[in-house]
Amino acid sequence: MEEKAIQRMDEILEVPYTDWKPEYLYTLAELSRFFREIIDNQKLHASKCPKCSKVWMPPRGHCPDCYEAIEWVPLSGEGTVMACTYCYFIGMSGDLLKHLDLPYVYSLIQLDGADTYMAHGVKPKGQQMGEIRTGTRVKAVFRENRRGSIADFYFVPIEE
Amino acid sequence: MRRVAVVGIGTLPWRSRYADKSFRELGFAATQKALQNAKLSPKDIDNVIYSIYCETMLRQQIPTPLLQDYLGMQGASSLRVPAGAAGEGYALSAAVGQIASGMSDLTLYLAVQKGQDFYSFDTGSRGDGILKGFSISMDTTWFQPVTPGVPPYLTLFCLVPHMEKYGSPTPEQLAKVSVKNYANAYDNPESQLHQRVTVDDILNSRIIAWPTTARMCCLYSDGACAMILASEEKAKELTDKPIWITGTATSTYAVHRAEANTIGRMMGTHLAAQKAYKMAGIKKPIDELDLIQVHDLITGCEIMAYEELGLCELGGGGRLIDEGIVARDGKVPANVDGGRIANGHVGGVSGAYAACEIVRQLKEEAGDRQIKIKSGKGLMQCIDGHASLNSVTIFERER
Repeated sequence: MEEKAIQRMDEILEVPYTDWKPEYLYTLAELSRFFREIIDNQKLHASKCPKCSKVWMPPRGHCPDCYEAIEWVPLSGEGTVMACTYCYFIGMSGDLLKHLDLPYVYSLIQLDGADTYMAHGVKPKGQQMGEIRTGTRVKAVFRENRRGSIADFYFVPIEE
Repeated sequence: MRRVAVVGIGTLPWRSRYADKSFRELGFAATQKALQNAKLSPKDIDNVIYSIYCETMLRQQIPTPLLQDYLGMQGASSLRVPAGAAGEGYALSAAVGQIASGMSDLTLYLAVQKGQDFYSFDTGSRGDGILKGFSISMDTTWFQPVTPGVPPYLTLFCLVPHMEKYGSPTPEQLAKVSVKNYANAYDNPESQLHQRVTVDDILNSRIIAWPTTARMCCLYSDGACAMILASEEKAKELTDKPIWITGTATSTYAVHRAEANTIGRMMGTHLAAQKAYKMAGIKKPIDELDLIQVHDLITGCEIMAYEELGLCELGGGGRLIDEGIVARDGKVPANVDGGRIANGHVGGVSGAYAACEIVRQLKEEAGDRQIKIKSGKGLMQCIDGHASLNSVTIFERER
């Protein structure tokens, strides 16, 4: 009965809605130091709990296990791929994805000195799968225009 | 605690886009079917639980009063539970809690979501608009700027580390899940894809995030689905075939705690399942469940769900697909309606559809795709993005 009702309806009208385009100006709050070091010094920092000594990446203001305020510790920017997936067809919605060619090797990276892994992109040298894999050593490369985003840097394999 | 039963269901056929229905009209159509199924009128409902995932996608913040007005249920209480693509289960838990506690006698559970109205006027592409609009669901500080979509996200955090740890599932096993779900959808008139496919068809479709190919991913869609839930007293007045919800639990796991012992697992699904089994008195799920409706956003997480739900050991999920245990005629069929791979998926709705299928199957009203009902118990599991939100619900018919 419902299907018949649809057929009797006028042609469906489709219209644009562009009146509401949200824009934001927000603070990085307790993470400001992390992003300031990226913008000013091209340097990655991690958050370390003074009580349990766990080093969290991505960083956070407080240790979720101890509830202690963290301390900032500098990292070398080098790390190891702990898992990765080659992406050959992806939605270019994120900022970084507009700046890297495919394939994009989406990876879990354990930065030297950090306990937890960070999800980020590795730019391989070639097109074929296998060059980047679990155990591959990588280093952070910083983009020219840095604006306080995780997309201000990405990773490339370290030359053997 | 009072017992809670499903006394009516209403599903709409899956379509990539309902151009002819707004979210209000989708919600209305599903509700109308559920009320008819339960032989109730809108005025009988004292409470509405909404599973609505995303406001930006609906183009409407605070949609619930608009829906409730459209449904003619003014005056009834309501609660909206958004929890990503696991929201269906989280909302169902809330609905059960409200009836069990005595806060409601007859609840409408309504899952509705427009998923295809975003558009990119920059590129002239709806797909680009959807990917961009959708991406704000991810952590906008740590994931969204660098994450190439949800299938890669689940593949990276869950599937790839699992394959490296256990040597399973293999790409062929991942493809077999798609073949199974397409085959199940073939007899479901409400599914979107009615195609016979082979393992090679699935493996040869384009690589989204290795080993996940396009045909191992769900179909993003518009959808709506409704259920009427009742207290024991009401259920017995309304139907001689109540389907009881005997266990329901959620587990919200970590997002930024990727370490050797957490990647490659869906730990929250394991924890939610243990809680739900305890509540339902299930001791050996592989022997007690007649069917499972699990979250096949990508086929890898369907196989991992078999393991986290305790149907087999960790690493053994691939064997269940190889041996046909999860096939429609197997010991514990999985996604017997076609699942998200062949029916459709949109956050907040596909799990509700999966729950309705369990109700249909347990009542033996599933037509051509009816499976054999033995113990009369079914399980619905759903997760969000990379299995940080997890829910498990057990349905049981009267013995």
